[in-house]
Amino acid sequence: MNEDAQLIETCLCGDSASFGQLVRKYQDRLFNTMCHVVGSREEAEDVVQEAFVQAFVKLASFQGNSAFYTWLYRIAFNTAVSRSRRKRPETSVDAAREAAGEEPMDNTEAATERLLRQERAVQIRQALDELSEDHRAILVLREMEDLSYDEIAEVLELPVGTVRSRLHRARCQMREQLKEVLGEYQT
Amino acid sequence: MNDNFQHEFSDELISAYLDGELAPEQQRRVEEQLMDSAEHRRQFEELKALRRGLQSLPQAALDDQFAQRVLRRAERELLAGAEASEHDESTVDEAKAAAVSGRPLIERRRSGNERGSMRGLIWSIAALAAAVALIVFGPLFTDERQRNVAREEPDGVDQQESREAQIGAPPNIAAPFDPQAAEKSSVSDNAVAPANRRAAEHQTEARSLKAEKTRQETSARTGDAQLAARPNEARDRAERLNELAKSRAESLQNQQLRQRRSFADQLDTVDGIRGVQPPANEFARDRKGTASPAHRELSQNGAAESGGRGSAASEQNSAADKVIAMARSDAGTDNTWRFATETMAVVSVDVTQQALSSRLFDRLLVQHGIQMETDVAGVEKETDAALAATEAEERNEPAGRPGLWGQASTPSALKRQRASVAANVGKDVDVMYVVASQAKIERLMRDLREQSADVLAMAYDGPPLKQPDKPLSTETLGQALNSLDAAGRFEGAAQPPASPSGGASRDAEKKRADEAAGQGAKPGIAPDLKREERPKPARVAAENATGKAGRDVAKQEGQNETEETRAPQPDAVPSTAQPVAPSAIADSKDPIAGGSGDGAAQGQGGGAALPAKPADKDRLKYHGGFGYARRLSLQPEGGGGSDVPAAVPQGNNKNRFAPADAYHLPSFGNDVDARRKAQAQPADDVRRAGRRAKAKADEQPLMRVLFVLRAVPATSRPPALPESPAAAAALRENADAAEAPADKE
Repeated sequence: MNEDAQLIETCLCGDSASFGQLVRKYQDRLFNTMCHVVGSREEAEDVVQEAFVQAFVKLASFQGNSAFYTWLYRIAFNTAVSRSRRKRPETSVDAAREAAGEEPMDNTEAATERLLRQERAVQIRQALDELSEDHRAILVLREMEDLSYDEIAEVLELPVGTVRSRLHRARCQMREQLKEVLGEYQT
Repeated sequence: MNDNFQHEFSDELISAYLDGELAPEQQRRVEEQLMDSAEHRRQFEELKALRRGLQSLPQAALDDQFAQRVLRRAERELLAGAEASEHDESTVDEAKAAAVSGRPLIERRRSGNERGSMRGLIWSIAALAAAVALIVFGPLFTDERQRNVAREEPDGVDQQESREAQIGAPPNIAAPFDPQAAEKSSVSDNAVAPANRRAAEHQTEARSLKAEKTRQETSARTGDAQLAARPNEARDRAERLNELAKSRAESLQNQQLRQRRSFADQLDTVDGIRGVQPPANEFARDRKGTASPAHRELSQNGAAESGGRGSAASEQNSAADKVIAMARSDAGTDNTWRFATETMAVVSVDVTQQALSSRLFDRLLVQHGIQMETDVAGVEKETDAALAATEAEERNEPAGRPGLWGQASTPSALKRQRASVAANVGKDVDVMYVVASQAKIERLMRDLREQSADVLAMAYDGPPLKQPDKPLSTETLGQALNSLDAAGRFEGAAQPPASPSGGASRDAEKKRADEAAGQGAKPGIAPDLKREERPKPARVAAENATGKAGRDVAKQEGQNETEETRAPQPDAVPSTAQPVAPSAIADSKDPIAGGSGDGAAQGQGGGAALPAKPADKDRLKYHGGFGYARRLSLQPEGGGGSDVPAAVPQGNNKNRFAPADAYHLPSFGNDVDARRKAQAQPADDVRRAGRRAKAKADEQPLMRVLFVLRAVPATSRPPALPESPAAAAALRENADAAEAPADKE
């Protein structure tokens, strides 16, 4: 029994603190993903919180057939989708710039280099926002969360073939939009 | 078309190859393609660059409290979900039924509402029928029950007891609180509509009435045998309820007894007041056999001492006992009063009737700067009309209940009993509630003890007294005053030459004192600083006092002035109110510290008015003179209508009975270091040092003392009191030794 399963079992026995450990374990990872998916820090925090709450409430229905974080991501993505249907996320260049500014500063880095890197981050974010929700979610799960096709398929409840094709299309779209920028990342 | 498909297929394979999601055969094919095609290699590199670009995006993090917020919200959701689960279940059931019947859910809900309205109509009719049945059969049922009980219980006392027990039994004795049952009840209550719930209650009531009527008819048919069984049940039930009522009364008594025991146990540890005897009778009397051995001995001695006082003294003791019992038995009725009983000391003083009527104690209070807050007329206000009113009220009260006095009594009886006690209080007992510093209380008790002509006995019962701080040396006091003079704290004062501290400056100080003697000034204080400008709370009373009491007053006033009135500016002048031991001052040859107290008291210009009574908000700032007393009438307000004795502070007076920590005597205490620093520092530093010293002095809070003065005939004067507990113990040992042979015989 892995650590997550033990914590879940303890939580189901009445110890809610063990669920707190699960939250602390996955909160940042899920939050980052949701930041990229929904495009807003505040919205992402709300989504993550709601996802954890739903996971806590419905923990008894978790059967353990998949990994906990996969189940959690599925809840989070469903929450994000339902919220996005209610309210379109307001993402602006300023917000993206603000988010990009939260990157840890490297004092040894030249100022121009730091500005360039921030500018590239903004452009990548803009390109991400241009993607459809489905494509963006798949791309984020693959490139940032390093989930396998099977896991992405499980999270998004899609066939693996659909995942592969959508991922490819998302990459192509991003590549077209970031043609000038990607040269900077080619070594 | 085929090229396009091949191209697209290849791109997707490249993407999958990048992710490592290809089968070995496909992977081999893609690698070959990459080797052959520069375009595919470029695409592959761009996809890798895109991955790096995406992974280089900044990472965000949540705060540490996020998990706590999630848990709190999750638990709330869980609780809310539990409450709504029943509603959801009904919705799900309706949805399932709609799916089965093929009708839309909305339609079914509409029909369900119609059915619900029909159901409500039926329940309403049932409720109406139940109400009619209650009106019609209720009186018959009640009369029948009373007739049955009267037939089977001819003893009027038993009948009355059972009725009293039924009425007086508390409703919450029956069963302990069951949270699960309460939760189920609340859930079910939430689930049922209020109208339906009321209808259900009515129906249940109607059913019970119907069943009772059926039982009556059955019993009438089956004869006297079954009829005789019902009164037995009623009697058993009445006995059970009576037992419950008694147990509750006993628990109340035990609670009062525990409070008294805690006070008496504290008395065992009191050795702060020397020469004050432990209680002669009262506080140990109810302790029965559970009192500590030492206290039992003291109680026995006290009983032996009071044995010669006769029945009159016993009656006065009983009255005072009731006063104190009243004060303590009502501890649970008001938070403030309960607090006061936990922290309040009680001093029982036996005085002559003459001393009581001449208000000796009042004069002593004034002499010690303890002002009388109010002078309640007290028992004189209790009139016969009020008593008659309470009796008339009692006639209209059908049943009694266990009262706070430990026996079944009506409220009016309780009031009358209190009025009776108050009447006794007014004749021969005076009760004063005094709030003052421990030092003042000790001095007050010492003066009381010295009034040997009028004060016959005194007993202290209360929390242990704190040992006084180390006495402040007069030398240090003189230095402090000199430093303040040097800092110019006394307005208009001639600046005395800066004098170094220590014995070397004593001669110079005395010389200056001799020079200033003709001007009524003291060393260390500017000659033109008129003492008449400072408050002298004991002056007038001292002049009015006569005989030894007057001399003592004058002497005491000298001390008071030294200790209290010398420092009218609390934030600048170090006070000696608390820490200076009167004996140390009196024995001192230093004129500063009161060695010339009599002279100072007589020569400082009599006729000065009493200090103005400080406003409540300034009371805490009133330096040195704080302390007040209130005469307690213990008379129910409005002719006995209040359950709380008049002694209980209420309304705006509550702030005066705030927790003890809220009252601190604003004194500099005994911080020698602060005084030394003040000597060498300018005025601002002196003020800061004074504030620090005041904070340290806050360790000694004010005391609350209930002085119970009882008039005792002079002929019943007890034997002379020993001067210390050790002497009392020696006396007891001698008495035990004398009694031991007699016991053996």
